[in-house]
Amino acid sequence: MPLFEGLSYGGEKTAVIFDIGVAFTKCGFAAENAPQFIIPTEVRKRKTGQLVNIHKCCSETPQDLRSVLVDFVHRLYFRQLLVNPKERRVVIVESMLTTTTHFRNTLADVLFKHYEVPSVVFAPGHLVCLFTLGVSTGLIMDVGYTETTVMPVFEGTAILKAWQALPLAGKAIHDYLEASLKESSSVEGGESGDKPISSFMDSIDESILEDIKVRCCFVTSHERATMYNANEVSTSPLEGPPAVRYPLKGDRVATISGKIRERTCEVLFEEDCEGRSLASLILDAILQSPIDMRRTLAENLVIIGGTSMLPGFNHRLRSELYAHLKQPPYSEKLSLPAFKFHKYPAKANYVAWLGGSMLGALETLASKSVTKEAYTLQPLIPDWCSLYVAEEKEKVVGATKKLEAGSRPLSSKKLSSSLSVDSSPRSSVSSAARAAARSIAGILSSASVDSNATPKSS
Amino acid sequence: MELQDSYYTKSEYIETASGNKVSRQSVLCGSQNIVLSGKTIVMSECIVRGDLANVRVGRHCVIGRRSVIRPPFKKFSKGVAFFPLHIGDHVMIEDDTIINAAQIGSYVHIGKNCVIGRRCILKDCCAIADNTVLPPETVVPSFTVFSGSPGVFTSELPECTQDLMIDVTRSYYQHFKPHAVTK
Amino acid sequence: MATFVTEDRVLYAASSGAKAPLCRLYFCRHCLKIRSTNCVSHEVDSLYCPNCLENMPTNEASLKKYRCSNCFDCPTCCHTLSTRATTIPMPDRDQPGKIVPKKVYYLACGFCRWTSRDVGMKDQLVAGGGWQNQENPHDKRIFYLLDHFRQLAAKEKAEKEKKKYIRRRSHLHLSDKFGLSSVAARRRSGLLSVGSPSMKESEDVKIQDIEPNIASEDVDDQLDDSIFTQELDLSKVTNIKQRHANPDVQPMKTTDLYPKHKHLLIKCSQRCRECEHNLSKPDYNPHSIKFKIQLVALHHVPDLKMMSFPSLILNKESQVVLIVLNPLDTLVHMTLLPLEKEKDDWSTAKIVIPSCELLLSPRDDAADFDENTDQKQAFKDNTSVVVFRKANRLAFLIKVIPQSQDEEVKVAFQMKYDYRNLASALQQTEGKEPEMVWLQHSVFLNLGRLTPQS
Repeated sequence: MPLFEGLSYGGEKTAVIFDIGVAFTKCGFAAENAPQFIIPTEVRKRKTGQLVNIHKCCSETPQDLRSVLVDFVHRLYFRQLLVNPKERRVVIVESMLTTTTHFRNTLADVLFKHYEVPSVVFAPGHLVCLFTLGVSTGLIMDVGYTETTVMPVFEGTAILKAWQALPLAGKAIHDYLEASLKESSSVEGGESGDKPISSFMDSIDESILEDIKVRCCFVTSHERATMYNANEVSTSPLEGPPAVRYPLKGDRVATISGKIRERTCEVLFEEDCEGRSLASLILDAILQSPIDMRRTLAENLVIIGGTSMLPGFNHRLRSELYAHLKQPPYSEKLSLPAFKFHKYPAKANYVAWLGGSMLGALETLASKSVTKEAYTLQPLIPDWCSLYVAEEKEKVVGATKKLEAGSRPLSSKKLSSSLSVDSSPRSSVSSAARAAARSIAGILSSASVDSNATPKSS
Repeated sequence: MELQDSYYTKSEYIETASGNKVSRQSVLCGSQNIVLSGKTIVMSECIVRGDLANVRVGRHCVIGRRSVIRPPFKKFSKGVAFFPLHIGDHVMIEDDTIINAAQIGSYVHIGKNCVIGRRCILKDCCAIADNTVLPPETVVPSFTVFSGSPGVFTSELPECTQDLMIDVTRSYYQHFKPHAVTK
Repeated sequence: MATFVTEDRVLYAASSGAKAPLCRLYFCRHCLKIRSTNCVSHEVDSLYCPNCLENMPTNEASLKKYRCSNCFDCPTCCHTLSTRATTIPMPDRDQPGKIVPKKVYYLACGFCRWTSRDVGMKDQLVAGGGWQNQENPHDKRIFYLLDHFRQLAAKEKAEKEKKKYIRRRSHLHLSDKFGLSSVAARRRSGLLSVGSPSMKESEDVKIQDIEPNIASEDVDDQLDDSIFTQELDLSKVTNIKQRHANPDVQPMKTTDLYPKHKHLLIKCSQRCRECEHNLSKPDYNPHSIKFKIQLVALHHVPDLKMMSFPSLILNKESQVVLIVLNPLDTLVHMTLLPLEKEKDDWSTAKIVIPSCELLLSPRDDAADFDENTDQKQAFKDNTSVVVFRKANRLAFLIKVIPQSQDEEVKVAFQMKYDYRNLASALQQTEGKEPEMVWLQHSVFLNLGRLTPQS
């Protein structure tokens, strides 16, 4: 089939961009300003016919995960995007911290072997989302489903040692919501009057929890939260928001009290036993970054991820940051004049996808991707966290290559494609971690280089 | 799995010259407007509203118990008009289903307890899962399965759907036998 | 039975080892192997709108983001919207002051009763509509950024190319400073004039400074105080599905829901991965159920069915009646063979298969019309094996001894039959007899649970 012959730049079809999140998958085409579809990351299992989240299959055998991924990617191509996989390059936007090696290797295998895509690039979501801002420095916080991760990026380079993560995100809200609904909510309707919700539901369906969270809950203001916490035991003097009557299946109606609506999302901001919350996550990341970068990072906060779309989230986060800053341990170690937030040209849940879309639209995509040919020669996707794999491979590739790669000047003045370092297995640098961190540095830093070269008008 | 024989009491069904088997307990209103093309089974307690408009049913169809087939109407500024309803060949309609469609193609399988809304168009080789509600004016393309309420595209049918449906409806007819006469 | 009542009692093994019911399998007549959906490659053949059933060429579809330009989905329930006509009094254009009734059109959902008037969309004067699409408020900025990065990327690539030329053939680099590709890139982005006009003239490409996003201390999601006092009307808040249906806007309130163009569907063709022949190619027309190429296994492999649920008792030999259908127009000689032990991860019961050859009479569509032709005598069947035969179907017995109390009773065997290889005959010189080949397929049966004993 002469499909690959037409892959010169002019005739090439736009790449497809996938951001396979834990809860939702964003898919679409390069250079578009929003994904075509945001769909649950679920697939119907062939054996049981049940909908399962593909990330829950990670623990299963490689064959099982593979068949689930085959079905899911099939859905993405033939039900959502409606294009032939063989004709388009693929950009996978992934979180540097949460995707497991097992998952990405299987995904690469499915894409190359089963769908025969011409090339794949794994783009780190934390880095590519800076594309959407046109800046090269930022502190990116991704509030997703299972985890909240924080990654400082300075001049296109991720400061890996300062990353932070906590399992405080959508899932935590769901769990807390379920517990408090079971504890206090009553249900009317059905055959027999009012009853607690736990009397007929052992566990509340995730989709119902999500719907309640999305439609009823919000993140309350810092002042109200402190007042609540001060009057922990006694009845709060504050008038809570009105309760909501939420219809369940059949004629049952659950009452969701104002307290639940207002306080469910507090789980994100309450300090755990180690005194960690979303705000401390950011401050810790700043604290662990080099001292001369701290102020810049604090003034370039980028908050992404679907959970951050809860009403009031950003406002609350800002007040929490200032409040934490005044308290030890941060009051002694950090002095920051202000926290500044970036507004991206997208909705929070697909910023990383949009960055991927921009990356996929560039001419240099080809040189930064792992091609099918390279993958068939050596079925390995380089990864910053599997350092020794990269090193083992280097030995195989040969010492000469290593020398060459090691001596390559890292200066960003050259418009060399440093992304290829990340993704092409042939040119692994001595430290794969550094490679991943620099992945989009090429493009981004070249931006900064040029701004240095041409005198600024101001 | 081969279909099992199902038996009926001979006196309860009328068998026409072209091989149609129509239950005496079904209601065919305006029977002069109803055409059953042959080897079609109309089970007990079905209602076919030929009095509203023409109803044409193809060969080798099965219309399940308590199903209602009712030609669709459209409201105009000057009143209501009914339109004829065509059902193709080898169509299987299961029990308790209400059909208001404008057109049902051939080799179509409609599950139990469905509502097919006004002026829906079901193309050849499609299927409607049990308990589906198709809102008015839905179009169901070939080789798709619709399910849910409102019915939406959920899965695809295999390429050999036509052969499968022919096989099912034929063997249903062959296995639909009168009780052995007991004296 | 077709579709959702299909019980996967009888499975066939495809060449990849996957087991599937026969109706979901293909038969590659060039490799003479059964192929499952996993060992074929799918290709998008044609795109069509599931509502108006009109084809859309691929180029047009990609421009329209794979959505139909005429049909809309309801933003609340995802059902297709229908166009409703109504007359409203309107001031006449020709005679000011005079009010005449005029026909206007709006969109309405037949399922949830949503109408385009609910969100204040203006009625249209033509039935086809000229419905405004919602625009992404960030279009301009994204466009700007993208353009900037493209220029950078083009420059980067050009410099790389330049380097390559310097190394290899230095005399060329002057004339080919940019490389053709960068020109192509800019042409593609369609921005030659908008981007930076200087790029065309000057050889020394200077890319303008990017306008970086400015971070600010403000956040725009401060809660309104009314949230603490006002009752929440759930019917006015969108759910997550409605939000995600429109990724650019993701409205929070139902009053901001706008209809979305209907997403297209595809017809797929399947191709054998080994020999790259098409196994299935549908007709282009969305109304048609015909195929240009249709090599489904059901047309080439004898179809095995269970006659009924057998009665099965632990450790006792019981007879199971199977029916086999010959889809071919030749007389088929079929023998059953046991499955090799190593390959068998399926069986939970012992099986005794008939050793004699089974003769399957050819498929004859006319045979359906003349009933009651007893062919038993003509074939001299072994009556201890063959139960009955009728046209191209034959019922025969196998014996099964269930071995496990708890599991479903499963058996497996192979069937071997002769197949006239028409594909090779086509390739060879004319007049040659098509070659007969012996094919062997593994079949897996699930006979159900043991019969409960009273």
